[in-house]
Amino acid sequence: MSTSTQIINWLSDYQSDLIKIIRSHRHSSHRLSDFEILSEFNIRFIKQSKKLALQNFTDYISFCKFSYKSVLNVIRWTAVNTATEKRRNSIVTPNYILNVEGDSKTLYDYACDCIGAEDPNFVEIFREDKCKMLLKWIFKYSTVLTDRQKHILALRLKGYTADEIGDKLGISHQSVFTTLDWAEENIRHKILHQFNDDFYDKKMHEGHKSIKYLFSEERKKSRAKA
Amino acid sequence: MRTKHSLQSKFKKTKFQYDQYWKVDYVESFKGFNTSKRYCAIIKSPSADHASTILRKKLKEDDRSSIIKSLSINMLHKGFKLNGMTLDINDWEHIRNSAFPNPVNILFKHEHINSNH
Repeated sequence: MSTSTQIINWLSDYQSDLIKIIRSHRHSSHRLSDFEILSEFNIRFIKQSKKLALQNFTDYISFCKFSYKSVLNVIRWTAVNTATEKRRNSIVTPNYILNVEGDSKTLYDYACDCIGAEDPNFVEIFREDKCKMLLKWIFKYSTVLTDRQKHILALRLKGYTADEIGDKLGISHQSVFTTLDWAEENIRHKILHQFNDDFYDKKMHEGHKSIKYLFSEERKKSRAKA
Repeated sequence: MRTKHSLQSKFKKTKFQYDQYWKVDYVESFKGFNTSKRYCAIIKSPSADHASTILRKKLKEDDRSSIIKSLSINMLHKGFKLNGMTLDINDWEHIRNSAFPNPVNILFKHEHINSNH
């Protein structure tokens, strides 16, 4: 039976071989250098030395085999992190200029100023009837969502958790989340891409204007001109 | 001789897979009042029955005392003549804007002033 101290001793003996393994498997564009990967591996190994002691390493060779596989994993895991970070950095957010109380500020500056403080517009939106109207439209009249999506969304709005909804409907919590994702996608696709402060005023104005145009003399006149 | 069925009667029986625009003419009156007004609205729904259901539901929601009389529904299509004129692209845009259900949840209706009702 191997003890944790014995494992650490084996690890120190195996360092020179480990660096060779890392050099042969590390990609040239890897974020971490050879020694950084090695230290990362050592930290992980030492942290879990007690757990590893339970694994019955019969001799030094079995330990070497295990650590060979582990170091490959560490190289892969740290590489995945690099890739996601690169992807994250590649999405460049344009620095919008906002008009806040007469002053023009960049979006970054505005975010820095507002950090920690709650946006008053965000608080207000729930007080107004606009939100109710939107929900009414979604639930009562529109065909944006399916009956299933409407049911699950209604339960979610009542405050039920995904597990509770799943138990109620006899489905898993994953499928609850999937349904909610689809519902959100549908709503977003339908309206939220054009949703801003002027949205309601603009829509109402357009609606009144259009219905007047369709059934009045204006249409006849415009057609006659054409 | 074979009887000729109109297009609209066919449309009214059909349940479409996608939403269609329906022109709905109706007379609205209120409980306890003798006056009634004739309105016209555009409803977006897959079938005529569903369109009338939506209209009734919406009018009840706006005013509980409202009563609908003489409801007539016609589906808008490329050969449809609205006020004696076929629909062009501009008209379709206006139809889309004025149709109910919409995110602002308002039924845009036009009152027929020269009505005998």
